[in-house]
Amino acid sequence: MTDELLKVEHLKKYFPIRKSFFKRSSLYIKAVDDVSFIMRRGEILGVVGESGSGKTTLARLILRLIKPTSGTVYFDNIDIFKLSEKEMRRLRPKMQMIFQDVTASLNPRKNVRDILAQVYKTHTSLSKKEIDQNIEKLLTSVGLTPPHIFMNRYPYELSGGQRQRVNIARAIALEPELIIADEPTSALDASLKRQIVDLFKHIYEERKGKLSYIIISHDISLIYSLTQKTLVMYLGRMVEYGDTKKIIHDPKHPYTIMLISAVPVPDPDIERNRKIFIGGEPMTLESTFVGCPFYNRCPFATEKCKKETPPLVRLDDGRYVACWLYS
Amino acid sequence: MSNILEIKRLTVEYKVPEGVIKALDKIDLYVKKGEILAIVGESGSGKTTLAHSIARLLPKNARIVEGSIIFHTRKGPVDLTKISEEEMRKIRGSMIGMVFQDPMTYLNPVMKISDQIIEGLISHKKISKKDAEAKTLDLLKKLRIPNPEYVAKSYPHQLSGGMKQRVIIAMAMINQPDLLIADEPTSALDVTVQAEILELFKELRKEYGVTIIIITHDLGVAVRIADRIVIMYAGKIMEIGDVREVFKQPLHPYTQGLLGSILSISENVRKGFILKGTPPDIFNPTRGCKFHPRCPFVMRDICINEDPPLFHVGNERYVACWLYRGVSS
Repeated sequence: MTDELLKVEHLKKYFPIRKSFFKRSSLYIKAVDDVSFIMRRGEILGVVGESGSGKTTLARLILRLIKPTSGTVYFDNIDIFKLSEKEMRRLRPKMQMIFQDVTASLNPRKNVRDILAQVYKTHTSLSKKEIDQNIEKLLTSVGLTPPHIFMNRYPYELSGGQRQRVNIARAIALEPELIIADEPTSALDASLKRQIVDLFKHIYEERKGKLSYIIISHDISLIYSLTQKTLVMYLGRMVEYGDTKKIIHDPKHPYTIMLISAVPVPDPDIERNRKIFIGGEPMTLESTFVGCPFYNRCPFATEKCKKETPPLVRLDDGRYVACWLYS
Repeated sequence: MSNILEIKRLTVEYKVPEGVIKALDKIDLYVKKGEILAIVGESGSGKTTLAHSIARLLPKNARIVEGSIIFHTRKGPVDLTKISEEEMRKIRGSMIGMVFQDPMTYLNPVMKISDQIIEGLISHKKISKKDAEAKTLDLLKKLRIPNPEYVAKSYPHQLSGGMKQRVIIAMAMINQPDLLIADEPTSALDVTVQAEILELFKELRKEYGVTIIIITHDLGVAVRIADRIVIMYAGKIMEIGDVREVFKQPLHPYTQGLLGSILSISENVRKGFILKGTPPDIFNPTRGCKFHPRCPFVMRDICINEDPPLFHVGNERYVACWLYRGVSS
């Protein structure tokens, strides 16, 4: 085992736009466009962006739920796109996903025991008794206690927060190395959201150093509370990447500055003195467009931004920014 | 400042196959003319039922069991719970405007934007189509919609989510209502678009003097735009006060827990305790104070048996908690 859990290199995913059924289109949407980063074992990475930024497509690529247009993903130094289906199936237990829709991801006709037992039946050769013991342990560790009561419940008998706990239990059942959670709290109320965040932290501490998370969200306060590193995406491109606290307290890319300034802070003293810097809407990118995707909303945009893609450059404090202001 | 709305002992029930649910329980609230009032609560708190009661848009299985909603119109006070549907229709759209969470539900997909806005205008006023069109365009410009001529001629599917929400706001504002009710108006939007819509509400108040009630689950949104805040839980009002004061010193244990639980990008946000347990089960209402099963300060004898009234504890400050009995000013 090396220190490097995940290496994403020049990952691209273009979706073609079909104008007619018979014509092969030369138009496409760049959902993920040249994303590269390295994730260390035991790291918590946040991927933040607004709708259409490509963050969910990035997650699906990393899990090989879809194939990339180009680029590679190394998981434990293995190029996952070179694996056969069979080899990939053996790798799957190490990478788990938690989805946004807590209800749709649970089979309504199975009780909690069956939902969790399915995982063990598919990937292990444990006996029925061992599976039950494991499920009891799992439910306890996600706070569904006493476990024997929750085992026999069906999803409709659970609250939204409890359902998400079952989803988390399923994700951690096989002791994965990586959990990707896509908007894990967006369907939950404030008090439940906090409880789920605390549960993520608790599980992380329990398996310290062995478990990594990628948290995908548009909710910057969630990213701030849970992650160590942050990747900011805009229209498929990485615009800023680095230490979470640095990025949120001192954003450098004009888009990140706009994004952070837009987040309402529940503190009247802060809100009163805040400068909110907003405007415009994301443009529809032409396939041939080569400039900075943010230039139409950027107050600092120059002619160069319209014509040339800014490269991702490393700043002195270790973060990466894709903006001509810094190159 | 005079009141535009006075709600007294408002109680609303829903009839469902499992029985009867009390969604609002003796709500007392006034709304001042020209203010922005935020009503904050988690799901099941009754905040949307409250908004729908004022607009008289409750679903068929809902019933106002008790109470009154006095709306002070330019022609004098009217009890919105008593008037006929016909009279209500005249008030809705002309004196009370509404903005809801999902713009697509309220936009007709096969009708041009300008026609949808004009419809609201000509159904309440005698105005020529040409004048109505001019007025619509003028309003779209005031709402700082880029390229208003294009937007007016568009169909809903041609517009982005943020633009659709601006159109909904235009529809709500076209007759210059005295009161605007916005139910989670930005929850479906990206944060940068949300910020723009919130700025727009502030400008509407400045420009037209319209009173705004905004329903939200996001305390940050409330802080950003509201003057006063109402905290709801399980169909009851827990606390009312000036936004700054409530955040500086939350009185109700639920408010304290809520502030302690929210995630924020600021380190300065007040640290209260973290709310434990689950939100109330509407099918099994709690005896006594609705919050007592989750309250760290619960007093055995009283809180579990008796529901606290809303105590007046200071300048425009109200709190429904037995801890403040006798503190009244």
